[in-house]
Amino acid sequence: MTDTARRPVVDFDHHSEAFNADPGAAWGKLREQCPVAWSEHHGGFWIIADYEGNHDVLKNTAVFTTERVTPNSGLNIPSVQVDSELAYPEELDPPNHGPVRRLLNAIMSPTASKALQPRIEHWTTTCIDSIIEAGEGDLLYDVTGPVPAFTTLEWLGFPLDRVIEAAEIMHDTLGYAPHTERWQRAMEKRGVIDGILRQAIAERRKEPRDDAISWLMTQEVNGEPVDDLTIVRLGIVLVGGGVDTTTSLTSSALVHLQKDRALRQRLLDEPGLLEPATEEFLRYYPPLASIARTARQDIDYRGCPIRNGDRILVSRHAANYDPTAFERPEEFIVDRFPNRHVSFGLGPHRCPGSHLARLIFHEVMTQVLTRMPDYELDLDRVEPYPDRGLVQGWAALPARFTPGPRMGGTS
Amino acid sequence: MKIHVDPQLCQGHALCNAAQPDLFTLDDDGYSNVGVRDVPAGLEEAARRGMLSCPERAITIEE
Repeated sequence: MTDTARRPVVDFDHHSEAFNADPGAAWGKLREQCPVAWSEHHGGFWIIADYEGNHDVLKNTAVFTTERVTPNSGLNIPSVQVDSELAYPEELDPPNHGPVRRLLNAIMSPTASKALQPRIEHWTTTCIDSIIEAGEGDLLYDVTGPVPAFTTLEWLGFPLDRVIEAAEIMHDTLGYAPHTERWQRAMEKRGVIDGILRQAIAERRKEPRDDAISWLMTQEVNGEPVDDLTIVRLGIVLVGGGVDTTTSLTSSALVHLQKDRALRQRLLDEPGLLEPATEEFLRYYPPLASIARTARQDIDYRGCPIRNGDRILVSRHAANYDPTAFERPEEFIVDRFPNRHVSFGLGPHRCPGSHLARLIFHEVMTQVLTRMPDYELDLDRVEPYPDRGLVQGWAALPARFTPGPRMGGTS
Repeated sequence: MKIHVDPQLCQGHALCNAAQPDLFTLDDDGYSNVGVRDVPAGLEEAARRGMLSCPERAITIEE
């Protein structure tokens, strides 16, 4: 039998209306019926839709690469990155990956992330202050969107007056299906972010400041000083990772607590519960639902003929709801343990911002729960992203709450 | 009881450290520097929690 005939073909498209009507059900059906499957959509790709498959593929960078080894490689399917600047260290594999990754590890470690706690508190306070007296606002546009964006991009050294513009570009490239009009418009503007980064780098070369861009300039990779292009490539990952992912997680949690008022009260009464709850929110609502790889050699994987150059979509969502890894996976169990979800990925490309993300999530949830404990989302006007095959984000979270006092000083 | 943390598998999630910071120590980059370590009396349960926290399954326990 030919390789093509041996492919278990399914009709699956993570950007289709049918998928987006109920993404969880679509991933679950694949996991149960055909966890390693082939789809003919988008030029053809494999789908890995279970927990063990995530381990097997994401840890094996010798076979499943993030690098652009073919004209249609990239981190998404369909590939949309071929004409864009590389993202570092994500699009490097070992052994080139390690020396670049260590730059980020040094400045995003648990200890380094904790040092940002005062800025996380500042931005959370400031954003909630902007709506707290009015008693109404959009928790996405006013709180869960700007807090991670301002915290991360200020730390990076990105100009603060361009943060919203950059966040909107990322939001539209991630939330709308490839080749829709809104997506196309945002993709055309993507170079704006590279341009802002290049300008910030040029300014820091003249006058270093206390930010990540300036620090990166003092570092070396393999004995060579870090050059501007490397900093741009790192900046692309830091903007992309900082802007829309923690936003999606926090937004999903706020929607969840709109529906589960008893849990909202428990989290208020038992603040320590937010630690395990963070992991369960991460498992239940993985912000990045899927990620792509490209095979760089032939491999027969669980009876499937994966061939050099084949694209592979790995579903984190399907892994996080896999009953072989989680008891009663459909149930939200606030203090679930163990809870080895894959929402930050596995293997060398584990999200370097995971420590910062948890701290931001913790602060935003704590301040929302204590300062607007009776928030009411207007569920008729709450909008998820139209396209949730990649990022499971939100487009609007209109809310009302009892007005309260501003808490912020200056800085 | 001993814990083993495989440095090839550790990817710096740091959830073992969150479970028990004195037993599951980290290097400056946030990756485990444990290698092989004896578990002090009284920390056996914490050692098990640390092992079960690791998404990479990098930690094993020798009873």
